Amino acid sequence: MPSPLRYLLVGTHVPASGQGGGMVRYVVEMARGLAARDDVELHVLAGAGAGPAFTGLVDPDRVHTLPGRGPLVSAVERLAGARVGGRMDVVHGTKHLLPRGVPGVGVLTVHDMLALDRPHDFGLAKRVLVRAPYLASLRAADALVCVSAATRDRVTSYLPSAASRTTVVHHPDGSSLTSVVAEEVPGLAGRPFALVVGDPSPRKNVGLVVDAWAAVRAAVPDAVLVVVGPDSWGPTDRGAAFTAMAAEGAVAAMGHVPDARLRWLYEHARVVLCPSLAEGFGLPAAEGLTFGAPVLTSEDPALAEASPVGAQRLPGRRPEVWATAITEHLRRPRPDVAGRPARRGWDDVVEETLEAVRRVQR
Amino acid sequence: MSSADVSGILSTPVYGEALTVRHVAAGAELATARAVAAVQTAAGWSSTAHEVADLPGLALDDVDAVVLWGADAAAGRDVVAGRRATVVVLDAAGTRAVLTRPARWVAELRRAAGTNLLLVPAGLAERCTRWGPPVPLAHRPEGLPGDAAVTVLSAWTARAYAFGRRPAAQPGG
Repeated sequence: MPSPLRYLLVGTHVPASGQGGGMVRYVVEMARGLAARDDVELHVLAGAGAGPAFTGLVDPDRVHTLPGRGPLVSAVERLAGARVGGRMDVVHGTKHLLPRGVPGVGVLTVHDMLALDRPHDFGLAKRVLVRAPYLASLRAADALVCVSAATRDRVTSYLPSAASRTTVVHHPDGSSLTSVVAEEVPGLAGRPFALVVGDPSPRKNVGLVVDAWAAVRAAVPDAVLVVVGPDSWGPTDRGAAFTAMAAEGAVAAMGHVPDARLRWLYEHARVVLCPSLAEGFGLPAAEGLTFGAPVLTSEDPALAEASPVGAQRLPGRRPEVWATAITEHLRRPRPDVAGRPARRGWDDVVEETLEAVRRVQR
Repeated sequence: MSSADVSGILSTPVYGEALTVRHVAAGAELATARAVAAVQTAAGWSSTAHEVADLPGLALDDVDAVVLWGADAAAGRDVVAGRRATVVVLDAAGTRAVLTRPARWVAELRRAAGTNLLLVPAGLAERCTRWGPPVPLAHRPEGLPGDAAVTVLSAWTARAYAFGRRPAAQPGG
């Protein structure tokens, strides 16, 4: 049997809790999947103090840590090779950066190109510090693993020469929420509500549906718009009508909600709204379909890719069109549609990523 | 109308939504812009082409997107000032000028915030990414004003709203 691949997974953005958004979940699930394989010897590069996130997944001796976190440390991360002892066969960056100085096949997962497509969504530090090393990492990687064809297309818009190095490895099309038991959200049972999942950063375009809500309420007076998601880490756009709508209970901003409640919201929303202007993958659209909800998305290609059938596309700049479509859904009972069964899981993601590595090695 | 595949740019039918677009150009690009506007208008958009000198007087309140062709028109971002989704279309000479002339480079950098999307020839995209000011970038379709190329340009024009800063005022809202 050949020696296992010495594989360094870079997860410096994962907090000690191991909990977080899509990019955090990606690393944790990849670590879980890679660690379970006989043909991989997994090492992890973690942020300072974040070792506990990988407890039980990775041998503690194989968790290597940086001195800190944040944009400045991200810049240092590119030079972090010296912190990892011995030669690696594979070095896998999972968020923008691929460390330099670690020999081996360089793999970079590309979640999106938002740092270049929408630079003003980022704070000044990230805007200045991340772009150049991100582009350098994209140029240096032997294999670019793109989470969607839409993301691959954006990569090759900037770097046409990267086309031959890109591989599309979609996220699982199911939802981790299927493993939890739904828990009712107080005050919403029996009420017609629409669900939008996303932080209030301008790209998520939550403001569009908030500003459309007055027209919806005129037609369906007891309608509620449920907004789930953490605060924005940069600029914020909740919509001009947000404060007034929230004050009268027409908009319920719930912040982060536990998975059990999020599942309940997906299961009971009359319609799930995905107005985001630019996505890398489009998880809320996939999750809405997983739970049999009607889904409205913007024309963003990644959202369309995540919901190839069963979702309705609307222009992301026309609140009046969204108001009309939402009203139609709220006026009728939620259709009794079976959820979409998952066709791929994290094991598929791990296997397809390793296949991209093997192609480079060949 | 051409059946160019633009699903990687826009997942809705390109001309399914009637956009109002103003093209602004000078010199040789003006003829191309006029021809593009004619194709878009035939497809159902409200699309017109104008001389650069006309830009300050153009009414933009009901306009969805402004397309600025070439270096002279690109300076029109000082007038549009982020009020509308703005696409800048450069040819090879214009792109090279930005990359090699410091004054042009600085001007482009200053106008970056008002640039929703910059379309440059595909062969120069990589150089533009390496040496150019940081702006959202895609490839100028080849073969303008042929129908297939105009369809791609139209898809990018509709998509431009998603990139760059959100215009301060919402049309039709």
